Amino acid sequence: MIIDLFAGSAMVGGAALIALGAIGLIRFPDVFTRMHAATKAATVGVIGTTLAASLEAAALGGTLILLIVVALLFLSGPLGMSLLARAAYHDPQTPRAPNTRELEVQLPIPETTPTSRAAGTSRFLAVWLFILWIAAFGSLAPNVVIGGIVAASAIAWLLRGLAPRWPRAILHPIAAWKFIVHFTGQMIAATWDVIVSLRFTGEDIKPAIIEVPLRVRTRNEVTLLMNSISFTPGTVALELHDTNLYVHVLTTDDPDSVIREIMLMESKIIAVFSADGIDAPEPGNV
Amino acid sequence: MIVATWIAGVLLAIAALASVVRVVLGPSVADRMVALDTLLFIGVGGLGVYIVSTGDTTYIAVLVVAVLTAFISTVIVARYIEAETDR
Repeated sequence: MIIDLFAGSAMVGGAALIALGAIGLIRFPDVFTRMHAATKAATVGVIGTTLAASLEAAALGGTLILLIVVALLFLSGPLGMSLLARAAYHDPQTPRAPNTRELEVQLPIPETTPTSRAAGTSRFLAVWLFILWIAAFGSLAPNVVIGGIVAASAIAWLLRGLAPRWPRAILHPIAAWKFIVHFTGQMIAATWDVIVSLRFTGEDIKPAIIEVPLRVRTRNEVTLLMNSISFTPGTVALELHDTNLYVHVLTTDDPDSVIREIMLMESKIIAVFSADGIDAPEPGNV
Repeated sequence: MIVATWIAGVLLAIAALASVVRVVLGPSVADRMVALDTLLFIGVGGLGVYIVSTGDTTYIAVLVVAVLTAFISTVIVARYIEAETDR
């Protein structure tokens, strides 16, 4: 009964967010601002309806697959939009809202030792694929396990040359938990931000493109940061140029506060991948 | 639960209509792609509502495929726009 109530409210709430995102598609003036509606409101809405479905799915296997769908949405939604945003940013034929401002950071950036760029190769692709296989079938029957081992090893062997050289990373558990809590709060705030911004019409909205110097260097950190930024209130990652990140802001009167939020997210990410789990210094306290 | 399903369904129908309007109006390729992506997400949301209302889990695999299709099509269109810009 309580599960029904949960599932029902997640479903209606999710559908409402999708509808608000689609209204944003109609109301916002250019493709970048429309992306804010699609990546935040609509993606969070789909996560809501999928979670509702996973609560109601009778079989364990079904629930696991739906949780995989949620994980895929978190990964692929912002990533795809960032790529499209970058293409549209460089394309002269894509119209931009006439009142878009281009800004640079005015805040003092605290000095931190840049993280290393050392790279290693992941040897765990086969293991991850095997776990995914078991989750997708939702059973540990012998034929499923044997099939999984064969398929996972075959795919890992076929992709041995293509596998990206990711830095070997050790996650700090407490810092990772803090990051997840921070990220969840930011995601809710971001969705609310898009909904509130729906009241603007084309002339009132104040979009901006901000150039932010990055302190993170490794692929893990930059990828995590770019994906998280697309869920931070009012921002979508546009382009990474050397160590400068270009970010599109939906609407702002105070660009400094937006940059402060991005850098706060960045210091949490530095903490996740650091050995001691201590947040890097935040800007503005210099 | 039936009332909740109806509300969710009507909201998704409104969302689908709004996305289709954006696909038709454009004006740029990227605009249409964002709208199509949203349309596919609306389909994923609709399947979620269907699973909640019937408890039928036959179409769960479709959700995985739809989410991956949305991602891959976005990437391909992004590459297409970049290739057009470079020329």
